Amino acid sequence: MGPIEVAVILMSLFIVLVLLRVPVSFALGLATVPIFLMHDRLTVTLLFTEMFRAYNSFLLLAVPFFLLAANLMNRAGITDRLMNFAKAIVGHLPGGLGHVNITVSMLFAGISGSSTADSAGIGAIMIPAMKKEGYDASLAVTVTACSSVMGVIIPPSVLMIIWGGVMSVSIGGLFLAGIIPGIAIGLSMMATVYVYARRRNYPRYPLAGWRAFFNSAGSALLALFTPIIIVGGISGGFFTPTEASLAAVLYSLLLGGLIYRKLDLKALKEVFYESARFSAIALFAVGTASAFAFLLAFFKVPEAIVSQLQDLSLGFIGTGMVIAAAFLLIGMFIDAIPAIIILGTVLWPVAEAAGYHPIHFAIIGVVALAFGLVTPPYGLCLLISCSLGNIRVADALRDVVIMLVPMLIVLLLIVLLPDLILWLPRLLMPEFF
Amino acid sequence: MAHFIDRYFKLLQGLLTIMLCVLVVPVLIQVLSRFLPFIPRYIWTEEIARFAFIWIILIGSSIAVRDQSHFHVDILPKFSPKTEHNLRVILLMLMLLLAIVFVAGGFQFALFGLTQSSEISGLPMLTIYIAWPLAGLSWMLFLVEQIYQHFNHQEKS
Amino acid sequence: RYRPDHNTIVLHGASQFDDSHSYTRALVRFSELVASYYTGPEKLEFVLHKNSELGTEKEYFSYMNIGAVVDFAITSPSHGSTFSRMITIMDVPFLFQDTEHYLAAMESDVFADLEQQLYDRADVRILGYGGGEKRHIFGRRPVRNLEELQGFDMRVMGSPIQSRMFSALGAYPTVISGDEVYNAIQTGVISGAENSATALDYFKWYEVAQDVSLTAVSIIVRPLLFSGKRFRALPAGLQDAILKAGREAMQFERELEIAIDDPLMQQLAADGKVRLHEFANRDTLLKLAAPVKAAYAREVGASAILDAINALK
Ligand code: NA
Ligand code: NA
Repeated sequence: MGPIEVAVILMSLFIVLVLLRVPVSFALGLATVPIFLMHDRLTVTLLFTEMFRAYNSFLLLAVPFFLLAANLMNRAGITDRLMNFAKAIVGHLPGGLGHVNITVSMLFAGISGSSTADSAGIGAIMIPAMKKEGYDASLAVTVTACSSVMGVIIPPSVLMIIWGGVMSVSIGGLFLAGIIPGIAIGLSMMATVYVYARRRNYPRYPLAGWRAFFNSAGSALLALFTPIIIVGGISGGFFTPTEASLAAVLYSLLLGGLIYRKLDLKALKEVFYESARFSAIALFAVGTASAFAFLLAFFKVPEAIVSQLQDLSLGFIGTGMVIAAAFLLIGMFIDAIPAIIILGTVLWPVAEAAGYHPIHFAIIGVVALAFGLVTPPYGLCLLISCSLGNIRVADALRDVVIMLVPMLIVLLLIVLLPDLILWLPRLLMPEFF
Repeated sequence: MAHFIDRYFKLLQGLLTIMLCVLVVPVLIQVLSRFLPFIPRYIWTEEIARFAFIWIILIGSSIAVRDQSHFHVDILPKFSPKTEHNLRVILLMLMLLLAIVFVAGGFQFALFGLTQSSEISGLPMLTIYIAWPLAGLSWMLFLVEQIYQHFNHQEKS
Repeated sequence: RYRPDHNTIVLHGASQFDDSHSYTRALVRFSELVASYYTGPEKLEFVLHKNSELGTEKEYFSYMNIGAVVDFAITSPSHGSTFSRMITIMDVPFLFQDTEHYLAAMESDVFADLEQQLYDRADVRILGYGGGEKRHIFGRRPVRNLEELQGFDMRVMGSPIQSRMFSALGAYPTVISGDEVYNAIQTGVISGAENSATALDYFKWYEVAQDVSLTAVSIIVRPLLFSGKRFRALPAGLQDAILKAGREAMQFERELEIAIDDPLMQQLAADGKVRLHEFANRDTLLKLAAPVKAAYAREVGASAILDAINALK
């Protein structure tokens, strides 16, 4: 079996299973089974060794910890405080609630390292609220899903922690480099919402006065302090990035339990259960995706792709666009974490040869993979938002495509403007550049 | 039988909650031991955390099979009730197929853990590897329940 | 079951590194030697998975144990530790006094008992021994003598002897996983770690830790392993060719590795990537290490091996 045959078998099996509504994580696992059984050098035991290898990683612990922190913050009412603050800033724009949704995601992205917690926590409040004010359900779902991708682009970020660990790149540098693209993506979405609101006459809130602004800012202040603890804790050498995710848990326990007094034992039990269950669902898919990725690697599929790429000798911009396209494509089908492990390490030599800085390359990869969170078939944030909004993925697709266009333009700008991406890390961590 | 399945499900839910606490504690000890001299620098903290993590994922995968919260993609249009009925049977059978692979292949895998003990704490690796076939068994239980309910429901309506 | 061609025997090898690394070069040499020694009717084909394509050495070991995917690889002995604790004796710091002592051990059969135990328990055969690189302490500050080692916050690999040894020498060992080392040093969670010039270069740790103290805390031993299940399935003539080629390829590997070790470190220094520091009293380290080594060897049943190694000097 050659690389192309194996890739075709795996992909077509996977797509058929997904069309039959088999859960994506099961479809990834099932697709590998025939190849593990058929080939004389493979055995089905490898499905389990590959899953074990994926899970047996200290870096991945950041996933449940960041999710737990985010859920604690949601439960402690911190999301509501952020929402009031966002309303005071952008509520008066046409399509006010849409802008609030995006702004809350941007603020929440600064305290949370994962996107799924963002779409689940914010979506649970914003989607019903938007529907009630007359927004189309598909738009409410789309805005929630798309804005949650900022969760892994604006620091802290689980994806950057894993990227930095796997590829020996400064996580502090990645965090700093993510700020500008993250905000740019948020602004691009607000522009789209503005156009929607003008066309469909969505409501706006009256302009909030300074008083309301300062009151809501004050009430959200302690939560807005979280990024300083996490990013400061990492750059101050108090903890490793994985441990920083635990610091976020402790801080949200402190806020919710002792200061806001919203977390009693029953609430804690529920939050722990829900966070564990949700991490497990997401990470189970990481395991089966890793087995899928293992087969691709064993049959040297990525190597075949890369050698094709190198033959093309595309130059700086061409290479960057191909890298972005490759991450976008793989992100449609599998989880971002195994995608980093398979594609990141394979594409790096291509990027390096074209003159890319490791941080610039990482940001292209992370942003493209973050977009994968809203692209079907496997777009976790879109799936979560759709289930919260009680609509089918197919019904949200049109709006998702429209929303993605300006986001893709931002991705193109990220490729074209390395100096803008590297500006903050160079400014704040000059010793490493 | 339904009663037994409910009790087993509750047990898994309880275990899952406890395991996340187990995950937090060793990492916390690891961080604190660097700052507080009276907390010894254990070397097993990292390993215990990773192992608790594996159990969380596999117990959680079983829970999500019962409450049907594994993410799937719904792109095809709705078909006639009869086709939908058949599609659901196919879906449950396919999931059951992976459950069988997890039980059969998973036990083989777990056997490799019989002769091994972990690098740091010396825990038998069987205690980790066994999570896979046990997850497979739990999925089977919950899937058979759903198949039964599906046909039962079909007869009544 | 699918097999490309019944007249062809395909053997898969794996390496975490690229073509220029001594492990990859030794695996290529091994393949060439096997092909030249084997005179049987089947055609031989070698597939080498490089650049961590199939993961890390830890996985290669488990593949060879299962008897699938990878037939042969050079791995750290520590990956056999879940099967046989005796094998961890190879990773004990200060096991060899110097390169000469190391070479004497590699050319003897001091590890024979251990090879048998690994074969019985992990079903993996040791074909030969490479290595020879020296691991040095590196970090954000120099460690030029025993005093500067006191309280030095360093990352050690997650095996009991590592923490025990470096605690006994007065350092503060912390277990941090390999993929967190770069960022842990950069942020100051730890002050440094210990590793070889090639690792320092490959993982780009010099970007965050410039001070290398020439402590030679260990001289590494890297066995070339072959899956037991796969080995038994091969024709007898091929088995002989593999045994012969394995020994020779690993002799080639250790000579190559020793030849590039010090020059690479010098090159890193010349390029301004690291600053080199001599260590004043390494003999004291050896003295302090002796009882720790002996106690550990007793614990893992490797006292006879340790005695035999000590007797070589
Ligand atoms: Na974030
Ligand atoms: Na996707």
